[in-house]
Amino acid sequence: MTTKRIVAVAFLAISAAVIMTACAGTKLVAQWRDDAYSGRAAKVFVIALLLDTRVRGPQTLVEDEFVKQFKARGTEAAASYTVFPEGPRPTKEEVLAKVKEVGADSILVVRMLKKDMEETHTPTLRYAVPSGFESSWNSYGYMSTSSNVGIRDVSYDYDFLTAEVTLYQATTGNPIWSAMSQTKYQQGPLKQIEPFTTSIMKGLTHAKVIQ
Amino acid sequence: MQRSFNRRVLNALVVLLPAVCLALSGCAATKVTQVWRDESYRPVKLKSVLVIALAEVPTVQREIESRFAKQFQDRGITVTEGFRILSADQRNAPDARDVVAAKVRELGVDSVLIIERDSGRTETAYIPGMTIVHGTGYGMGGGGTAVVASSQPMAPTTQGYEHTNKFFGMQTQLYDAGTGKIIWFVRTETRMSGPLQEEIKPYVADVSARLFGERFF
Repeated sequence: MTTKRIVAVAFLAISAAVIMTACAGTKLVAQWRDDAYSGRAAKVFVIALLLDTRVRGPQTLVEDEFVKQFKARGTEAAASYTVFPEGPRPTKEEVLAKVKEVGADSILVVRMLKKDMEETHTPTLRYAVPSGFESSWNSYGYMSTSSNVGIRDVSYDYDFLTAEVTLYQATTGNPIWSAMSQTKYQQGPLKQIEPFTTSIMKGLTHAKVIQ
Repeated sequence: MQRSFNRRVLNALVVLLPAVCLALSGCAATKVTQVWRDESYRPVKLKSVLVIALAEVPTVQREIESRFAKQFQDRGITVTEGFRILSADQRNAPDARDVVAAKVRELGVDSVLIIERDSGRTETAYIPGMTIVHGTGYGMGGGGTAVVASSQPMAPTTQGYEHTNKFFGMQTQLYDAGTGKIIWFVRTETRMSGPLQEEIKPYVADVSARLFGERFF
């Protein structure tokens, strides 16, 4: 393989990797915090509302990940699936009663808003490299041809999940922090649960509503 | 010598300053597309306001209301954010107007600011491909090599592509709570160039500056 081909292949591989990594992950596109609230949550009750009916699976994974990351930051947390059985969504009154029972002072609600699919397309970038350049200095002055090497079009579909996460104060029922997030992914949403949760936790920590 | 230099700098500034101003105004994210005020309205100064943002996502609603609230608070005006007194169900109910009217009476505010989404649009621009051509061997030095070098394109050659700008429209309306009549209205268009959060802040600042310029408060 000639040097120019190696350079072209390496360039292609690096560019594709950069494009793929840059497009995956969670971004908090909008955040809000109640400036009148000065406390910090000590125990959080986590509810993930992903579907109309409560089914084990993604909901359990999301709630468990949040509980794990809250505890890692020194904040107590409880997952809603441990107290609510499968079935229809519990009412607000039922949630508040359980929150009181488990002794939580805050409620974190993760709500899925929508799922879209989009396409990203990066056009071709061509480099015309003079042939013989790398093989012989002597031929440099006489070359008159060039060969095209290039990076091919990169085009791929990705999914796009929009979610809203809200932290409520249990005693008043008022929101104290919320964020709207957008998560791009290609290889199934379950792999995004951990980075999604990490992004939300960063937002909560930055807003100083948790430890 | 020094005088000549100063004159050249001054001349450059005279040419550059208007260009910079034009460029900056052309790049402003939020543009006012329509503004109206009731010229017959001669109020005593308004002292309190209820701010209601009609947004689909509660985070966006609260962010807009809180940012407007801060602008009013900074000027000593009593303000109530809509999300603190109206639930999502109340705002989306068919009788939302009556609910708001009841809340206005309950709070005793003398004005209501309503912010809602207007129609947006997208604008697609075609960016043509580009080839940078320079003679091979130029600058390499060595004797006659530059003379015989060909002018084959070296790099890079890019394909043309389409670039889409998204714009979102907003309407901001001020009502006199006593009469229920609209007294000021502004329609804006904001170019989305980043996360929504980044657009809300300058949008609220621009609209607030215009509102306070009308001297209703």
